[in-house]
Amino acid sequence: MLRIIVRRLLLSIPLLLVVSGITFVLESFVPGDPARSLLGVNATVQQYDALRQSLHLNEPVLQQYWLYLQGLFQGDLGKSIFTNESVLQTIAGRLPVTLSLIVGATLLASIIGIFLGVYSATRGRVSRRVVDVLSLLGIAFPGFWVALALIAVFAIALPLFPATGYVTFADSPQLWISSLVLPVVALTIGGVALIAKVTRDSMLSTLSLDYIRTLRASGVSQLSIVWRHALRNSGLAVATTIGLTLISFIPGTIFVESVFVLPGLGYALVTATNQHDIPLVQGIGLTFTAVVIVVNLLVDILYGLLNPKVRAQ
Amino acid sequence: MKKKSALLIATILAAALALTGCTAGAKSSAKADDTLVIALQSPPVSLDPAKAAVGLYVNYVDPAYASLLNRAVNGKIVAGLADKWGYNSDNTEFHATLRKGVKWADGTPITAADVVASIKYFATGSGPSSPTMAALDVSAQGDSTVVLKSKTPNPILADLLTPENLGGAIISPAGLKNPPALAEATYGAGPYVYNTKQSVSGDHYVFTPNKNYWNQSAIHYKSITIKVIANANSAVQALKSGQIDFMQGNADVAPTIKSNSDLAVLSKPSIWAGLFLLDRDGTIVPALADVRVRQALNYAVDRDAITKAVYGEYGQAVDQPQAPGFDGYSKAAEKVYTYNPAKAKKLLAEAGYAKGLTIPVNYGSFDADNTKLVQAVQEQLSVVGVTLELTAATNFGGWVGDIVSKKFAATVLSPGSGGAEFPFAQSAFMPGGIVNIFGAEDPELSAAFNALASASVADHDAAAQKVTDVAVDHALSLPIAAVNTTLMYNKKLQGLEFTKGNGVPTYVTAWTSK
Amino acid sequence: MTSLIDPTVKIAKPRVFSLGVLRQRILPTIALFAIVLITVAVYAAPLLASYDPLKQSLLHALEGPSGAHPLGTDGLGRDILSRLLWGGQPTLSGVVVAVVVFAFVGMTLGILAGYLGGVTDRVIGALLDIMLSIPSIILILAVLAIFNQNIFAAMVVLGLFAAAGLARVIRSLCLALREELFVDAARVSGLTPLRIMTRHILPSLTGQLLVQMSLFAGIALAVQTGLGFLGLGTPAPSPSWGGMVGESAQVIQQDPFFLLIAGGIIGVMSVAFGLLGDGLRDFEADRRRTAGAARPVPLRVPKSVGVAERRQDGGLPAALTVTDYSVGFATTAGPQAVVDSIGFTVQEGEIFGLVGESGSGKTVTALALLGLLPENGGVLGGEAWLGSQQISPATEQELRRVRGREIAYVSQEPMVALDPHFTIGSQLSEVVRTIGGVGRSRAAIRAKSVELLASVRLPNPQDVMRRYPHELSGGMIQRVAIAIALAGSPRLLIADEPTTALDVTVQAGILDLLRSLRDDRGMAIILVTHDLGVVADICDRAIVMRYGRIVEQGLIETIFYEPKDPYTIELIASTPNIARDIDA
Repeated sequence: MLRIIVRRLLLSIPLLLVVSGITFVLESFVPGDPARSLLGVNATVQQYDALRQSLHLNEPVLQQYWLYLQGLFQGDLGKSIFTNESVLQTIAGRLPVTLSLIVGATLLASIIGIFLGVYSATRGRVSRRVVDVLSLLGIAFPGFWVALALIAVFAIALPLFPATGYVTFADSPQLWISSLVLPVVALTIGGVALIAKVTRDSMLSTLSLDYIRTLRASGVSQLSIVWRHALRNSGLAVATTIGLTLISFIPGTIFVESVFVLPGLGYALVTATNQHDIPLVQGIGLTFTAVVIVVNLLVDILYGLLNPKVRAQ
Repeated sequence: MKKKSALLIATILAAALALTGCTAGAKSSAKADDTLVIALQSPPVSLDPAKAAVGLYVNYVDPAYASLLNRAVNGKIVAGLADKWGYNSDNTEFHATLRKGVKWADGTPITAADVVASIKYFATGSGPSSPTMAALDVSAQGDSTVVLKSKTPNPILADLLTPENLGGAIISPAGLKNPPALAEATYGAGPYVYNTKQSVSGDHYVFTPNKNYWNQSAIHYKSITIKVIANANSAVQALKSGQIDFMQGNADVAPTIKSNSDLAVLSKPSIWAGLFLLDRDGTIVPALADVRVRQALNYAVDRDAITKAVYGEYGQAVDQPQAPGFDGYSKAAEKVYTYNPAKAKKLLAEAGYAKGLTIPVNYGSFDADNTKLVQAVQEQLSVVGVTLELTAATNFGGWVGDIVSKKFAATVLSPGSGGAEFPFAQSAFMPGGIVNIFGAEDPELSAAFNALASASVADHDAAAQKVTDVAVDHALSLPIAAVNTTLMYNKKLQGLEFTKGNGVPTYVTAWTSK
Repeated sequence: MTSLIDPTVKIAKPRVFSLGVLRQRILPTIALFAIVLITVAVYAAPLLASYDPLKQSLLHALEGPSGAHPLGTDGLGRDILSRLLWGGQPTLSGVVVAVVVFAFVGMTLGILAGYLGGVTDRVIGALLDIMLSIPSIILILAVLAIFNQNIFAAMVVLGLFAAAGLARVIRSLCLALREELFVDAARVSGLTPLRIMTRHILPSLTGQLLVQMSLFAGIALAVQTGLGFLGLGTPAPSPSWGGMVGESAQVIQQDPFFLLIAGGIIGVMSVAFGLLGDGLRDFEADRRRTAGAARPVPLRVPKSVGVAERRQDGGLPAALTVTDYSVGFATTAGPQAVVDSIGFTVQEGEIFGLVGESGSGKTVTALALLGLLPENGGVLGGEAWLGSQQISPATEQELRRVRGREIAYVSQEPMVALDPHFTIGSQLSEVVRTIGGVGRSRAAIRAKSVELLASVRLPNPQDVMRRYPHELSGGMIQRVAIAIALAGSPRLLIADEPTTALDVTVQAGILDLLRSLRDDRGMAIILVTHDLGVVADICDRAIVMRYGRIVEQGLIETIFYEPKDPYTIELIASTPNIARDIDA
């Protein structure tokens, strides 16, 4: 198992490089001149040229990328063209927000999804259909509509949660949770369906396996059969799906952060792309890629833990 | 079995935590009266006064950077950091004298030399009034007096030093030593200082009191926070739940707080909206050089209908590039262009464009009202054979880039607040004006403008109206509506009003909470 | 009565698209219908839309539904219904583009990697890794900025990166297919890899592909909604569903109906795509199952009325009494019996043989007694009594009290009989804790577990406790299974072909063990088997079954030396060593 972890970590380095390369090249084609945006309409030609020079915008793309890489290897992600703030700092400040959102939503979606999946696998046909339709409804409603509806009901009509804004954990753990409840719910809704489906399918096929029959014949309780044994066997498929769901939440943070006004990476990405703030886009891209890599790694580890045959290697 | 009970306990704990979080959250949603929280739609371009945007966005700068002069609610220029000022006889020279004992936020005293250095730096910036400052000669006279000299008569030198134009928002020598640092920290002499630790760039900006400010009684809050809320609906929710005290509104969301007794709307016409005809010399669209074509455009639009659809009760149709109640608004120019598509077609035919023409237009899709406006105009013009090819920019920088690229013959974006005729005409119609990207010149307008520049106080109004009349007669633009600036706020805010004459609301530094 | 299934008679394949099938799949059918209807309406917009989608009516903005405008007007007074119809074109075309790219790239990469293997697989694998790691949202935003809000460009990028996921799925399916016989045959007959891939492998994958495509279509649609909310994709004034969602979001508080419509159409389509995908998946699963078999329908058995009389055989109550017992399965043609009105008794401490060839109904009988038949099977009639307790008909609750404690079961395939994720000790302990009768103390449970393992003659029980099933041989696992079965000290043990999957030498040991268990504990054993040699070896009495009926029953000696039924005679004759013994 250690071998798998090490292998994946080693592979992640060229992966990050490739991703950053592709992003950089693609970004270089985005129209819009950051120097122009910074200076506004009434800048003189000299000001404009000077700024372009200092931002290295006149050099060929590969040259700019090489400069960027050099900085990267020294741990310097550059500075945002617009706020002049170090990209690393900006990301460090915003990452906890987005992570809280994504991890929270994944946890919630997993719990609900697994419960729904197990329930519909062990009950009759009607409840299965009901679960199907319910989880599909989660996909049907546009995420931001759900977000706005949640605010209207749970923040305005019933002032239970704040309508907007984010409080860091360090400032106040309770307020931190409170400010995350509605956004996490908004994000979760779309992710339950797939987890429920995969859990259900996997459970159904597991429940028809021989050893389940042995367990039933031995008098082991239904609860234990379902939750201890059958779910365990579905663990692989469910774990993979949870990993995929987490990754699929990344783009979702854009609209949730926008509606709930959370200072996260998702919405920062949209504005950075619009403003052609390449260092920041690059930084966020690398961060997201790193998140994906970590998630895949965790799923691999989970594989190993769940499957004794893999663990032995 | 053990695992199951552990899961159950964990769930109960989490629920309990969330519930305590709830009540805590609800309670602290309603905030204390000694703090002020407002919402603006975009983050600041920079905290540097030389790069800052004007209008409501001055609020990012004003708390930390007091200006030399202020404008009172009644429109008159009043003292700021300077308590004595004046012009010479022909408006070519202006002086301002610093108040005794004023200090920078770091405690060092402010000298005239400091002010000169600051203004010189400002002149190199990218704000709308920077070019004007660049054309002036600035010098210190003694320790506390600053003199501005202009080659041509300029009646608004005093205005340049007010917060609305930021020229007088002086920056300390410590700040000027390292200009890039001005983007993320403040080095001014205002009642507050920017608190980097409590702020998150792009999300919220916090200002806390400056203990070295000369007028401590003018500091009304323990902290002023400006939140960036791009989505107007989210901002309304925050306002309704008491999280913020003030927000920029628009015609879409303003009606939604009617049923809230503790919230109010303040709305006044302040800017005109419509199409700026950039290519009046006909560089890319030769037709636009012909006044008949431009007039045809003005006849082809039903201003009343468009205004109602886009702005509802928060706008009023105008056919001149100025809002009623502002400097230069001309009664004579009202109703020059009534809705008359037949006449428009006739004019186009006379000019040789009976078959129609195409005009590339850019606009900012980040502004919902402008997006609606340009579509409405597009359809109406299409009826008379004029096709607008629309290109959207998704953010301000992109919009600027599009304009500067000189690929578009017209654009949609209001230049700033309504206000004095002088700076507006200069920026839009005069050669060298920042929005006059093709450098088009209209001799009659230039003459009227110059007359305005050297007009005495008594003759000012008439001269200003003359400029507007020329602009309208020569159809130098395609105005549609005078749009209100709409503010939505919590009634406990005092001191929030529109300043007379320039349509700019008072700044946060002037407000108090009951 | 119910008709018996005779395996020699061919069952007609139920038609795949019969009305009954449609009724089962009503939701996906409705979904498909909805999708087709909306798509046709959208592309027929020139005919159906009453207004030019760009035609404004400024004085009638944001009006609700009316005669003139069935869905109301938007912010510029344009007819929402017309814009919805016209706007569907770029939206759905975008979805089509995304799905086509998705399918084409995914299938190509997947099949190439899965079928060709080797270097190709590794290279493609690395490529897929990269594609799956890049947050495609960044590239989509960049592409939208580069191509001036062109939604098609964005959809191409979306499809491209999602294809990596499809490629993975296809690849694993291909790896499995590669080993299948028909592919081997194609290879042997000299077809080129390309030919094999396109003509043979591709068609087998269409089912799974269709499922993935329809699910992805829903995603592509949702992405357009999100982009529309952000004001990206399809610039004004052209309508698109995503753009209309964005417009309606601006006025959500004044005119929520607008958002309801704009979001609603997307929602309906997303749900429809999802249901269609589900339906296709079910259809695909059924098709792959048994040839022509419909999805198993749960068996509906009429509840027996009244309490049946207990049959007395005189003397000691038998361990197991089965009377008039019928077991069957549900089919589209109604319940079909595979066991018809059989009856037998097993005495205490008796080793009873349940003999027959495959398809005779012997395993089904055994499973039915414990209520362990699959969902589509069940007892159709008759009773079974365990001593003085009725076990058939009985509720699941009643059966749970009986399983393991009174009757235990050891199944045929030891290698899959135990949960591979848990150690022997863990599984055994769990059963002991539930029904072992030694309380919940860890020590007692462990002691009993070790004792049970010892009683099935496993050398070194402590070591076995620590092992996982995959570390043990078939014979050892079978012993463990028997140990588990003994945990509750049952009166009756049903051993279903306990030695069939084992080596001959190991067989003897297991049979020996069973005999000694009977001797030591007085436990009755039902031995289900097709092997007459085994029956002759350890059974006391037996029944012979054929096509769900008993053709011979009685003492072993009687059956072997005085067989009455021709089938029995045939069976004996075809078992070499016994035949010789008997002839001798």
